[in-house]
Amino acid sequence: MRSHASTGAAACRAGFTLIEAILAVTLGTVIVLMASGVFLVQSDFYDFLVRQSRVQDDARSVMAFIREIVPTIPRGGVVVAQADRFVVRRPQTLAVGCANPGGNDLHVSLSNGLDSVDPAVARGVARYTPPAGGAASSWTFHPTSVQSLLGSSGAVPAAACFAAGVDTAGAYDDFVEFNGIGSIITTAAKVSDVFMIYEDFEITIAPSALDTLRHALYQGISGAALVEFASGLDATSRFEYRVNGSWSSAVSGGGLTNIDAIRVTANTALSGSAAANNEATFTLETVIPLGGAW
Amino acid sequence: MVTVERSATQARAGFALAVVVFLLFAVAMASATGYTVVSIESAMAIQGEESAEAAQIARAGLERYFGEHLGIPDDTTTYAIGGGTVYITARRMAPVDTADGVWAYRVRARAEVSNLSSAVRPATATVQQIAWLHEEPVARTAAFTGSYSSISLQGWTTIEGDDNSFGQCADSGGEDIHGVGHRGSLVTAPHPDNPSGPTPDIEGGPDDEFDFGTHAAVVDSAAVRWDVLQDPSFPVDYHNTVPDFSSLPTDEFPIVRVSGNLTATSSWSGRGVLIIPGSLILGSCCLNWEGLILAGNIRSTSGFWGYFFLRGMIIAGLDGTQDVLSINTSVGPQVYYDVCSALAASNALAWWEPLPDTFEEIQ
Repeated sequence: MRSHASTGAAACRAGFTLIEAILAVTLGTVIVLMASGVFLVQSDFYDFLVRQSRVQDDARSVMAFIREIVPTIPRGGVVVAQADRFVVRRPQTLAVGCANPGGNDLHVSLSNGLDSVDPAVARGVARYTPPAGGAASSWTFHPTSVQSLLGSSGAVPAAACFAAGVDTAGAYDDFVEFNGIGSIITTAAKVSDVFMIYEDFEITIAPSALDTLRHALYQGISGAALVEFASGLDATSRFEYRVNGSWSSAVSGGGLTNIDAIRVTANTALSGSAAANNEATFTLETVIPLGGAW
Repeated sequence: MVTVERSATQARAGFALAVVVFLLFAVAMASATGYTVVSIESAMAIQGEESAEAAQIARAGLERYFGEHLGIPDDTTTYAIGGGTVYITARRMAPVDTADGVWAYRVRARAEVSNLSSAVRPATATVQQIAWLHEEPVARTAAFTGSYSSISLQGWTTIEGDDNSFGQCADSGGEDIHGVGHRGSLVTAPHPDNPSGPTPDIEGGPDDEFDFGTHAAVVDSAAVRWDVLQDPSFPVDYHNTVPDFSSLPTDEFPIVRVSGNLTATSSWSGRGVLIIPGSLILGSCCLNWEGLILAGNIRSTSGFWGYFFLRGMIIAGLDGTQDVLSINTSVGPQVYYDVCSALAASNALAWWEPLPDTFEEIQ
């Protein structure tokens, strides 16, 4: 009886016929293929979205960086203006004359403190002419050694400025003496004069060192090694400059002082491993006025 | 038998279970990876947006401060703009024109935007700009300035440009100013109803009267943005109402503005800057003011009352529409220059002149 029962069970299991097995395998294969197809499509789509996100992020990074730089550049502060690069005179700090110690020297109050000044990369000092009689304000740049310009700082100039009515509380490090400023700007420096210690800052679009198929945005002190800031740019990314209401891809000579805005076109692209038509692209364009004239 | 059957069932169940577990694991891993990537991208995008928003709000706050803030700067001025908060601070950097009370300031705006991804670390941005603050915009030239080619005063009228502050502030005892400022002539006489009565008493230094010459010169001496101040949309301390002065500190000189004309009655008495875009209408009793009165015009009828009492200064005729001013009344204005009141009121009108091309974005 037990033997018969065991034989019956075996017969029951033996009920899987070849047809059933083939059918099961076929159905399984179809299901796996369908699932794989869906998965691959989803994977491609996801990959595309990730790349789309990447290219948008690349473009936004470029824009965010340039938006921080350009508004701080005064009118007349662009010294190189080309389609793929520009060099600007960026303030390390502004300063206002607050007391006159005599001679060619001047005690000044710094807008960002002495810590913001890096004499090693500063290129000079500029003097501000306020708007008057319908004439716009302007900066006159004087390349010089900022290391030599900076004299004593702290208590001495702060005390002199305090005596003139300036707020020095908790800000002694904001006061410094400009040595020989009168001879640098070739005119008598006076209390209330506004100055800028500036550096030459460069932004360039060039082939990327990190992604040989793409371009990148490089930034840094002009003349020194530039740092790759954002990659993923297309070679068609460019800068344009507004002079007297017209846009140009390159400006030189006297036109540089009349640049009042920079237009940035950031084209970014990123191909997938699949077909080229699956390339994620993005374009971001913005106009940024100089001098904070937003 | 039972043992054999369970063994076969277990063999099939084990295969299916393994496949299902594997598939579930694969799906879970893919989902987790995808979610991580997407959430990181999302967080980065949000942080970028918040940083950009903070920068925009900081700029907006700075611009708003320059545009609408009047008076000597407080320690911190706070604005709620968009989804963020802007904190404005100003530090006096240098004297520009001590005679006219102009100083150079560094004005800094720091914006904070609530950070969705980190409640304890809001996105921030800081911008700053050099600006001149015209701390004493109203030139102290004459106690009673009227931009009229002819001013006629009669009866009991007193206008003194001599300082009547009697040592109440550090500036007391300084220079006297002219009594009446005009752009043509001043005529004084007893009132016709009482020919033997008093003649207006006009005193000042170095002269009793001063000829500005032109309407533009009068407006320049006021050195206030008259077109802005009289705009009903421009915020002032009190509009069409006077504050309860008993609840204000005694050294606070608020800006009070009315719409159109103001009849000089006692209900408008107080201190500070009284801005009347229309006309100050004389003929009632008894406006008593301490500080500055700026009026588009003055209108008076030839009756008994032409009275108002002022310790400080008045500049009228700022709208430039009237050429002749006649206050031919038995009792006319009583104006006593008081350097302390005039200066405090002038300080309340201090306004910013941001210097173009000195904008900095820090941090």
